[in-house]
Amino acid sequence: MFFWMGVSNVPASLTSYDADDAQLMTRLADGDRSALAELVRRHQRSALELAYRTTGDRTLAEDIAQDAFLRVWKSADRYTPTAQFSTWLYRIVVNLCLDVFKKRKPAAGDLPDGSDLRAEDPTVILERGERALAVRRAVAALPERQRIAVVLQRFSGLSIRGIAEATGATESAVESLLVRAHAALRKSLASLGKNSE
Amino acid sequence: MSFVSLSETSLMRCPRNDVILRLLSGELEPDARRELQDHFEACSACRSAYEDLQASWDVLGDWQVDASAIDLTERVLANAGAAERRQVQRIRLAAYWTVPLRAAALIVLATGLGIGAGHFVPAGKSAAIPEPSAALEDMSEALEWIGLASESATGVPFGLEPDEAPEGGDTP
Repeated sequence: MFFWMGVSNVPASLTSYDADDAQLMTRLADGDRSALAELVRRHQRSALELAYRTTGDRTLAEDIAQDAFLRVWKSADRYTPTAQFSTWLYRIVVNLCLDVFKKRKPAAGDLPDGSDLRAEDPTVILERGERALAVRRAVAALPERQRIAVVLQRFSGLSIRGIAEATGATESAVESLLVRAHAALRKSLASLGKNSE
Repeated sequence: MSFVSLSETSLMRCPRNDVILRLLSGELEPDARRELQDHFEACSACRSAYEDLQASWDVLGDWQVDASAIDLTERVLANAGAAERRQVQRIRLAAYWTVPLRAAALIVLATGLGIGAGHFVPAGKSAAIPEPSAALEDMSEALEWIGLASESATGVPFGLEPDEAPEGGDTP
């Protein structure tokens, strides 16, 4: 049974950009590999940055983003455009990140120091400045789910409802995660406040 | 992004921190935003909480990450192609082995059933000894039936050939 029944099923609430994504998914379900290439081009940056900010590891972020797009390809015939494609993609990326955490179980804040990310190689994720590194460390010190919620809210631009959709949590659970995360960040980033600039 | 309406924010009381977070992330409707700002004017505790949250919100913005130089397109397409080829190989392999595997399974099944029914005896093992039927009237008949009779039909005790039969009654 194919749940994906074509472009006519695209909800009117989605923007034209989302509708384009939905059309690309239809083409992909029909076996059009060029649609996968187009989806990758449109969303790889946000998937990479989400995976990188969550794991703190550039190589891992690339592996996760690649894996996420392969999963998109494999499940194209079951995709239902009830939400934005990007939210669905974020959910895949988040689940893959959680899988990684489950396997390697680092201590809070025990993430790569990001030194490789400041290399001059133009093909890597760029991240510059002492303040950026300080913020990165503060975010890395958060528990995994708080970190994911903060990254999705502050950097991926998702609403609390969007974060709930991308993580499978309830909105009240997301609110709770965010409040606790921002309380911790307020303390750890106090020295970087506007007064210290 | 859908906006959160005024009624959802319960502005009659001091707002919870998640409402302030919704204000920072731009999720509140314009009316709710205005009402919150008015509340902050009148409530120094809430204003302080808002300013703290806004400070860390702004500092988070300093963590700029740029992955625009990375292009995964070729890698993803190559991996998709490889996965597809692996799947085709698996299907072909399954089809190739289906007939011989089914035939082997049939032979094993038939042999097993044969052994179970007593038609076949595995090498090095004797046939299973069947239970004597209830129709057998006495023990000697039952022993004879299973080949352990003390005397055979020829009158020779079990284990002796007919020409080895002892002379009747002339023992010293």
